[in-house]
Amino acid sequence: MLSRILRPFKTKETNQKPAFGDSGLEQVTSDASRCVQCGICAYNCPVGIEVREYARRGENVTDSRCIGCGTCIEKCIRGTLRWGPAILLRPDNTLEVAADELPVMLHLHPRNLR
Amino acid sequence: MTSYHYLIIGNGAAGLSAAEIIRRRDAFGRITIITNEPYLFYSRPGIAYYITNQISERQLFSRSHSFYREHRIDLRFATVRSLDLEGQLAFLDDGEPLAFDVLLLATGASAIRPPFLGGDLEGVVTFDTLDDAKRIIKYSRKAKAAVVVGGGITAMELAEGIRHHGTRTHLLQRGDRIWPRLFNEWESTIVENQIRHHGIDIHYNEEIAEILGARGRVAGVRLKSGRVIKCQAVAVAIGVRPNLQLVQKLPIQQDKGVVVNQFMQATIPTLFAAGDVAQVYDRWTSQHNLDVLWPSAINEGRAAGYSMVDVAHGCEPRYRYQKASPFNCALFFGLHLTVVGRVNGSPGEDVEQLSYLSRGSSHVWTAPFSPSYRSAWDKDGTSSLRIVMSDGRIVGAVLLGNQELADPLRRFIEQEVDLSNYQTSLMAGGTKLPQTILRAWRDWHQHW
Repeated sequence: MLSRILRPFKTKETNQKPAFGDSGLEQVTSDASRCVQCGICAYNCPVGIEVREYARRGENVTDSRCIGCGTCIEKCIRGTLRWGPAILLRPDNTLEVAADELPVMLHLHPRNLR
Repeated sequence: MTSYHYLIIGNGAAGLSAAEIIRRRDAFGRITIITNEPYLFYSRPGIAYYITNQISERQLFSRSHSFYREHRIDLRFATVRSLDLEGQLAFLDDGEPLAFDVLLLATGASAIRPPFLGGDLEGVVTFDTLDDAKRIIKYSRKAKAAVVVGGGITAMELAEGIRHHGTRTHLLQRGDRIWPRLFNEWESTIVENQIRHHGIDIHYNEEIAEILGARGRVAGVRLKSGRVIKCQAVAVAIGVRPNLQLVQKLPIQQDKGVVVNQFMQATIPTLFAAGDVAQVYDRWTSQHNLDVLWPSAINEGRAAGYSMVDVAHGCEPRYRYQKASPFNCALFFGLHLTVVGRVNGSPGEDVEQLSYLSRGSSHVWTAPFSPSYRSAWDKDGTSSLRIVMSDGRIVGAVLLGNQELADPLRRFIEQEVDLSNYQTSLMAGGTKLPQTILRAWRDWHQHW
């Protein structure tokens, strides 16, 4: 119940399907139509990622510095940012991201060590 | 190579997204944006979070000078005094004429000035711009008590912002509950409880008769009931009106805003309008409607950008704009709210239709029609869900608190999904409603 109040948008059932096969990894995803560019996400990001720029384009936060803390998701007022399936392809959908280019969080975050 | 001059009046969401599209489609054109504010583009909805100290001022500016330079957008801090559409000239406040090929009117909307006596006293504020936000912070730090008038999202944000600074806050409501044209009684109660929980005094059936002043400053308000509330600041958010001063005397079709076609053109082909100032055809209500919403402004601006390039190059515009279902979400007093589509809160009652919209709302929301309603809410009264159905389709939804179903419902409404198979169980309502919607969503999503 408490998690419902703290994270009203958090849900498994209503998440979008991943762009390609479900890797089981999660990443911060965004919904551009909800974003009003207030910048509260970037303001609170502990590693200083310009999350707003990803949200403006509706992209996943693929910055390799992302530690997956979820602060931006928690702070976003309009539910623009959520946990969603990680995209491991480049935007042109051709090349797989090399292992050393994977965001830090995909390697380290306990959320992904199931 | 001829280079065309695109003139955009207004540096808001609509104006800037139009400029971006124009630059993408026309590398050689000259783009000028004229703004009457001394700032670069900033997030208008964000100033509500600025007054509650959730973000710093610097954070509001999402585009730097280099953005304008890279896109070769000439940003001019000036005011347009008048327009000459036949000569295709705009006259700035320094008297300088500016020739243009196509013109985009993206002047937005501004808050209605307080209509009561004493509205020009020091300490009376409306909430439009960053300067207003700074003024509100200044006043609420000094004031012991403040009065907020209005019933929309802006009024809630104002009350929350002023209360955040420790000021005693009174919220005046015209009706006998919060936002009667949007919420039903249960939803009003949830919001009311939240507001009271934050220590704000709500006064129902009260209107200001006069703002009392002392030495040019606000000293209190006298209500129509005769009561006097002592306060040092008054914030007024009773609605907005499109900024039509520039085009008022021009021979174009205008109603509440500038009426535009699906290419965002006014009745003169070289004049475009987008954002809060434009009145766009809405397929749900079959009318030209006014929206004062951020996503609408961005989409309209983009659509206008596409058509402006076509028209400047002497072609017929090709990209039709189809208005999306009006949608807004907000967080006030720790309560999430999502409103989509047609959600008229008092279907039975004949609520007086105000001619003014409050910022962050749409005429479509409260358009009168006769649908069937079903609601569900949880036991402890912190969240509620209401859907509005018509002909086996969901046409509107209000979600308070729990937002799990916000995206599915939005998709259902936007894509007019036929849910007649589920209609009986959806219309049964009650605690099973969220599960039914979730089931419909899963089935539809798999099928789709």
